[in-house]
Amino acid sequence: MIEKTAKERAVYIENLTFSYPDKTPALENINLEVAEGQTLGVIGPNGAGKSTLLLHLNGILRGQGRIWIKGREVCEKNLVQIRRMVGIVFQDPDIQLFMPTVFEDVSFGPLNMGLPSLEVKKRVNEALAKVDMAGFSLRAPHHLSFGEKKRICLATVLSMQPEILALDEPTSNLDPRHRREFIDLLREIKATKIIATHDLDLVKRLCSKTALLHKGKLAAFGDTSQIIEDQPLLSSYDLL
Amino acid sequence: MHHGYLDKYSHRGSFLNSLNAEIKIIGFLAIIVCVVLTPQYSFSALFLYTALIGIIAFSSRMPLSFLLKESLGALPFALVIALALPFFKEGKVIFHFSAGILKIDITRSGVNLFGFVVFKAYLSILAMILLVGSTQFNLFLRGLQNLKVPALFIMILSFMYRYIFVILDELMRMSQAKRSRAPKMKVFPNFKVLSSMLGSLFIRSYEKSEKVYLAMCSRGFDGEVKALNRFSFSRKDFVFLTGVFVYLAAVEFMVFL
Repeated sequence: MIEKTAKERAVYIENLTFSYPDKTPALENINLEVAEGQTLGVIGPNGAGKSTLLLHLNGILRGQGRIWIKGREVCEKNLVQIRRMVGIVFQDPDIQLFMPTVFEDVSFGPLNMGLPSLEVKKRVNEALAKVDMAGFSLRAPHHLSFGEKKRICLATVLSMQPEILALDEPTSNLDPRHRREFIDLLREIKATKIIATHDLDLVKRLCSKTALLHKGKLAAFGDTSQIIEDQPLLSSYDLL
Repeated sequence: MHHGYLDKYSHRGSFLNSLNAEIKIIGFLAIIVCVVLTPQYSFSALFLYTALIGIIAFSSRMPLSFLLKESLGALPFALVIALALPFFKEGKVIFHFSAGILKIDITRSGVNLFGFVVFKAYLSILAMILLVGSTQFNLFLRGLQNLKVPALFIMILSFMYRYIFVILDELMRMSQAKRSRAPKMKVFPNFKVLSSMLGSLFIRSYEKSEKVYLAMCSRGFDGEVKALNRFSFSRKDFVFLTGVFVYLAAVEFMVFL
């Protein structure tokens, strides 16, 4: 029954529990589901487990419990396909962008997918155009502004054409104009999105569903309108 | 924060900039090997190599001040290695120092050899700076890759180039934080502060490297960095490589005679 439901969902998480090697519990019995094309906001105070949850989606971290991505279970034998399907954008651009030039960074994923040269170049150009950074391919990441780096970070996963995008604090450290532009950019991307953030305004604008995490537990899950409007709930979890 | 980049003159549109990285690496490697193997006191050969490097430097359109600054910065390493030569080479003693059991003789032939070795080292450094300074670093790495340099070595160089400035920025921020809280404290006499800063920097770098590895894995990294192979051979490459090899062969022939 669960497997049947999991196949119908873009993401299906069942009883996910994870502790770091020093035994610090990070996630406890998380049950979540995200429908195809939906945008889920994951909110919660610092240390709630938002980033840890995202890292489970493509098997970078492996906890107890089960996760299905478009009906495919996250396990050793499916990892290659799962990592093609789920693109994770890390919070810090200096972590996401590790190659000497923008072109090499954006082509890193497609090359690892074993795509032919022409297809790789096509995907890099398309991804850069989508984030409005065409013409930056020969630039070195450390010569870019923070806002430009954030856009290139997004391009590095868009070039893999993932079906699910997981973004960790996509608007952190951006000035108001760049933040607004970045939210508009995210809105235009047609994929199932999971956004871990403190930015409640972003959640209100982009996410139809919201999950509230607190100390690794799912404190609330439902329609964004309900959760964001519930001021006592947000205050009780230090989000207001 | 802004830093000086070694490859900042790789976009000047000069003859040297337009060459393929692989061709430049082979050409400069040949020059360095010939310079290093120049027989002792073969001044004419060394003069001709200096002229060749001078011509290449002129065609690179790099400012002389940049070349001097970068090359003199690397010279102390050569000096340290050659420092013992004046004391151990046999010959006519030009300086003698003795204090108890300690006896030091400096010979004329030792000083000459020291000057010769240091000059050869300086020419090699100049050639390296011309190579690296005129080539975009990513193309330089790809050149090494196409010349079958081990992938691990290239990955280390690539990450060093990408992250050295990130780490320097981190160090600058830590230094600013220290100065804002202890404006009069100097770092150098205070080794406790310095060691804490370096320890903290190491831990931060280590943590960052773990996260970078996770970011690489999440984009399908399987232990091998793949790259598009864009090797091509133009007329300019042919002219450069042929010119360098003919010149080097002519000088070597002259030395042989």
